[in-house]
Amino acid sequence: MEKITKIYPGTVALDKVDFYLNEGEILSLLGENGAGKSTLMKILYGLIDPTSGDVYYHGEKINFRRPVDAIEKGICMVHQHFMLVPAFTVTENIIAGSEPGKNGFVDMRRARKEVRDLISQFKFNIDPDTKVENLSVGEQQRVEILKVLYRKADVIILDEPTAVLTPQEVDDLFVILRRLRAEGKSIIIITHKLKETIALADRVMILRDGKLIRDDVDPSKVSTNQLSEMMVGREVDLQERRPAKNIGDVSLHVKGLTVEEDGKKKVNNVSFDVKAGEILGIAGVEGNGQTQLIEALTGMRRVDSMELLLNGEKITGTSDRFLRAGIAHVPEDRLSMGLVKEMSIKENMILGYHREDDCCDRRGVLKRKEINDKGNRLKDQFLVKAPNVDAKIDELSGGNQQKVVIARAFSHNPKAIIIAHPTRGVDIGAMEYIHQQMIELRDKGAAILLISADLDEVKTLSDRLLIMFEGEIVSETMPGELTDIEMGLLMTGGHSMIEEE
Amino acid sequence: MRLDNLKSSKYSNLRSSVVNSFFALVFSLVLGAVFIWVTGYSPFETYKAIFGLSFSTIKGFALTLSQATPLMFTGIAFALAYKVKMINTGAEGQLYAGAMAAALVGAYVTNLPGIVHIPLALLVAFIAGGIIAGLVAIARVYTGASEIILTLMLNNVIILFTSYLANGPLKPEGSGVGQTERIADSARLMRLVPQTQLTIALLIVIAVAIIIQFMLDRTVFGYELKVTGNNRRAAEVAGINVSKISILTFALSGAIAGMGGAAMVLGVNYRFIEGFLIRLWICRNINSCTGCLQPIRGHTGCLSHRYTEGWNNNLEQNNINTN
Repeated sequence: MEKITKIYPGTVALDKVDFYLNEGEILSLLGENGAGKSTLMKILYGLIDPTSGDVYYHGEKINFRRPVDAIEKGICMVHQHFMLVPAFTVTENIIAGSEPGKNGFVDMRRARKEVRDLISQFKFNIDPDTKVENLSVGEQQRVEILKVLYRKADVIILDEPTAVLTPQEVDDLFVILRRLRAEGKSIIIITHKLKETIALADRVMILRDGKLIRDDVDPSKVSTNQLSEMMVGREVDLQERRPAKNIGDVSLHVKGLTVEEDGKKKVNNVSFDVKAGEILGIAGVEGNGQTQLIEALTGMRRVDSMELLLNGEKITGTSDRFLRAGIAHVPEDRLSMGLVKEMSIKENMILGYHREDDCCDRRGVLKRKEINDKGNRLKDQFLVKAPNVDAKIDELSGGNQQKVVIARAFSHNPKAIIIAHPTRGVDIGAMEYIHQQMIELRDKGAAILLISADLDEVKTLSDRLLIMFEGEIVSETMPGELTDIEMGLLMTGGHSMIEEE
Repeated sequence: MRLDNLKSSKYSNLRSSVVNSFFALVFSLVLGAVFIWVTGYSPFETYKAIFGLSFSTIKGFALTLSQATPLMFTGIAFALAYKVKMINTGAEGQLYAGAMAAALVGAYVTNLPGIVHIPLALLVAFIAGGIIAGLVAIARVYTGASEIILTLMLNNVIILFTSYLANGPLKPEGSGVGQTERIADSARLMRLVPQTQLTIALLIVIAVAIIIQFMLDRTVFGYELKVTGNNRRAAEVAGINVSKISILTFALSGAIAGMGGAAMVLGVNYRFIEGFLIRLWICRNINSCTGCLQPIRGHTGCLSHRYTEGWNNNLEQNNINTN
């Protein structure tokens, strides 16, 4: 691909980017969200047309109008979100769209044989006759890869392939990808996970703000820090601790919190205090009661018992009551809980605070000008990258969506705030920014409760650290007191072992 | 990075809905022509007769508009309920309930000036439709019962019940058909075009559409309604009472459908007549879909729909024989 340029109204998504891919190599395409990785791949795949520039494949100039054209040439893409029919078998899913047979009948026997051959050729270890709904996420991804192999792909583009996988499944995927490379396939992986890039790729290409930064990085000769510097354009340090200096009195007091669900105690008699100007981190493997804890602390569910005091004042009732009392909430899943993706940035910036005087008058009519101004102010203040505040949320990258949630909650000067997984799925630049904002909010005197599955994040940000396992708090320490291994043991129920030592 | 078409989206949506309506109309014309031709008549002559009436004369045009009016009410009703992702398949029942309510107020509450009588009849119809839809919404929110099934079943219940009333207790003496007492003159809607059925009902429905659009775009209630419809969970996180919003919205949807019934009674029939709109029932919901589920845009869909659906009536009522 030569001098590919793609201009959207208001933005240059790609600026004269050259791209090449050798046969039988694994290329890692690195870049922050919005750097142009996806746009470049969509052009290669025929989903969108470049504004200018040419694409050559095996020396021949090509002009894909639709993905089907690319597939015919052997260029296939495995999307981040799987496109499988759960009620169909593996074989049925693989052949869907290019069924063998004639006269409108599918030659299922031939299809099954071909799929079986493929599976054994690449040692995929999948039963072609099970239904997709019974497969794990990692296995479903293998079905997606089989789908492109069935279409005789020579170039396979994988969009964020590891985002949904467990560490074990990531290892399995890498084995498979290396095997494909040995068979002569060329693979492009789009990612922003640096460790994985270094472990897997033969060559790294880095895009930043639509420009090609490097396309010849040898992953064996660089560190993750160097890579992130190339991606972001400056030094990034996510590991630096900035402990709180002015920890005040107890702000959020929680006592005897119990939540029962389906007859089980999901949260069992949990008590803790968060002081003003402090970040209290709760680490734990997901599904150990964190969701129920968050819902209880934000008024979203009825609890079996809880005493919650905010600056000495008892708070009960619905989420509306909690918000108004000054307990802000950054929900664990921004798209399903924090934002309305069909609505604009400015409309989302007021969500939950839309009944306040700066948004509407006493008759319940919205103040359009004020809402617009507020949207613009927060968009600038929290560095949300978007053409304007009328842009819909689903036009933003994950990091910018999260910034909208953060901007909304942080700008209302909450007394206390419950923050869940604040940087899940956001890129390094946004992650650094969000951490910085959290520390700023803390230093302004807010009590912050941070719940995260990202151990590095909890360790770096917390001034005090709780570990949650099966609905109970199993340890309270200062950060640095425990090694990762000890923390891991506590998080998986091995706390008795440590005490015995 | 999908940043195209941000500025123009508002207008392009409107344009596309007009274009959609237009194509729907053209398509139905072509399809209709095929059927007319197959049955041995001249499509050309038929269409000439239809459009001759609908467009060339003020009366014909007024008739088309007046017949489209109740559909505009139910179109808005359907579109509004869909904003909270609920399907109001019961617009017909609510319309009948509103019609009966308006007929009762029109006939039995007398000695009022028109300026009070008409709004009163409309209000009672509004409340009648609203209560019926509101009860369905309460069942939906608190028990999870399907509002689609409930309203569909209620349609039959309400229509049969109004038929019973029109054939039994409310039947005027000496009447041969199932209908109620004629409404008082003070309850009649003013005509926009003399000697036609086109009344201020058209202006009322346009006003309703504008008010609903204003409510959606500019008020806290409309904002909460949109958030609830698009993302219930986010609405809950934001402290919005989604049950309340859903019930109120659905009740309002039914209330607007009820007003459609009142418009027919007060402006066209001057009484409740058994089964007065029965042939059109499901079409009413579908036509609003062609208007992209936006109250104002719904109108373009209604009109084009009404043209096609109304020919039959035009042809029959005016005894036009195309042969």
